[in-house]
Amino acid sequence: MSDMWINMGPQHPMNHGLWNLKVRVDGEIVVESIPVLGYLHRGVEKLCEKRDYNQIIPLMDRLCYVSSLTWSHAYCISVEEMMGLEVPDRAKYLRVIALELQRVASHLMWLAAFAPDLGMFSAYLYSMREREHFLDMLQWLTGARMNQNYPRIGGVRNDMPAGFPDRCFKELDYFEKKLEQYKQLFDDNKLFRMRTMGVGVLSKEDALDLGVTGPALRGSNCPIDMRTHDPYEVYDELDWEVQVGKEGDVFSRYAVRMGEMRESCRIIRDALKKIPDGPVRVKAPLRPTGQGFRRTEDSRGEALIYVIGQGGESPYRLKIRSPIFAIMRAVPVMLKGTSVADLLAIMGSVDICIGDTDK
Amino acid sequence: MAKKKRRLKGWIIQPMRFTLREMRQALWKPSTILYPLEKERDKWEALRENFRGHHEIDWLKCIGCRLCSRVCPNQCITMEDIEVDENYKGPRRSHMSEKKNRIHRPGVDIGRCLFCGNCGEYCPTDAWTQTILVELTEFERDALIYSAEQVKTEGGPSKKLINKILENPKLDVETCIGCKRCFNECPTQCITMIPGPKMRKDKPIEIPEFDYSKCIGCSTCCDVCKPGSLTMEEI
Repeated sequence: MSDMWINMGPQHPMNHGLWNLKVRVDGEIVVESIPVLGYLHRGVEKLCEKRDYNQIIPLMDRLCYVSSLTWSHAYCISVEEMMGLEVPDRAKYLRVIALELQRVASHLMWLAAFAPDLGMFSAYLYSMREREHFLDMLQWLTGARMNQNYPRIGGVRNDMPAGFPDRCFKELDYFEKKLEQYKQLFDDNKLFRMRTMGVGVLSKEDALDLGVTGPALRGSNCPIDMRTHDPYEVYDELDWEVQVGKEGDVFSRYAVRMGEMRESCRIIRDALKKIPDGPVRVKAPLRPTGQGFRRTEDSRGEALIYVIGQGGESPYRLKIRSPIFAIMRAVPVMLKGTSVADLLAIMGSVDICIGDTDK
Repeated sequence: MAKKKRRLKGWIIQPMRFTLREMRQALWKPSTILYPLEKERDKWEALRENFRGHHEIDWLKCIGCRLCSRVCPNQCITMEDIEVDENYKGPRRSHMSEKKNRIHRPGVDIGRCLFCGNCGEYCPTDAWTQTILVELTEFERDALIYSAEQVKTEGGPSKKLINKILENPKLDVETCIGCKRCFNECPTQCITMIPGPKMRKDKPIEIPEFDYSKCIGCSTCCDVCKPGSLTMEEI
């Protein structure tokens, strides 16, 4: 039978975002696949050269619309590294709380996109309902639901409101109870297991060779998490564990993300208990010189921002390392030899965000 | 026999309990609301601390320093030149607006605003506040451009001026020509003109002297300085 090329995208229910996956199929079997990016290129790196250091923070929020806080935090922490600035302890704890709230919201958004791909539409409704509680918490803490603009160079924008910890504990209790139910709903579901187990296997060697990071790497039995591997903020003082999957298939990536949501709740609880008093922001120099380079754990993998300042109001150069851009290179390896029907499950498990991939 | 019972419970009753609970919620206690008809006003009010919605500018606090338009990442704030009568009770601050009965107040283009809140954060008099109003859609693009009158409120006069930019102007005496433009335009009147060291037609050239306790770091003086003898330096 002759081979056939299929264009999955740029407008296709499979791809959550604007990108194209060219697939060469032999019958039902995927022989070759080429991801095509560049439909959403906005030139963020160039825009940053025309704005001053504080004006870039809201721009970094727009890199990824699902987990915007992690990106503006990655920028702030890199610039602080360049300035050699020490952030107050209370600001570090507040950042961790906001980051983990954002991580849970982002993983719930992933679940809301992944489950309908496998035909479980009710999971979409459940996870969007739970995400609302976390967005409320973020709104109360940071002042906005999606593009928070919360971290600042040298601290955070504002202190947490009175009564925030109590309300947060209540929401976390509610969510952890629900999360157990969802684990029942998915893990005990035979259809879900049949569609995800043993599908889209990415071996540990391949994952490390291709620069895969985040839940996709930890799903391949490789316990590398930037929060412990290269600790930033106060993650090393808090009580939590890195989630690792065994098989490297879609199910282990799913299990890692579900486990991370539970661990994020643990981190928030611990941080709210240990948070010290003090200032939340220190003065930052306006025209720094030097270079900053810091890796952080985004919800999707390793986010890296490299800044060079040459004494001007705006940075000389800013480089963004997006986790999904590297994982896109591993997509042909994951897809080779699978059927077209499994393609949806595999691409869903990667949790693609084109906003920071195309920059 | 006991094993059979557990299987019955595990396979039928356990999943049915979950389904029934969700069904009860769907029928009598829905998670969703009929949005345009009913709104969660209570929730918005409860979470209004730090929230950034539609803009409001207190004209009795605003001194027209243009700092908001300078820190805005999208340049969506334009300063409007408004004529007032002599009895206007709000602050005019700069010598030029007192002389000409004109004040500067900001207008906002909501179509370009990204609601980052930098304008309110760096406002030296806390005149800029953001409400919980978020329903700002219009049928025409022009309707999104709010003039200064449309975002006006009148609260009370501000207590003090805070320099949030953390910069002060520094003078290069060699190039100053004594044109008094900085003196006229300074929104906080922190400049006094004193005789300088250089002479022109046997008279000393007047140079500005800054009262840094009143300076807000708005860099208006640097912008209007024609010879470029004023530069901003960090405190």
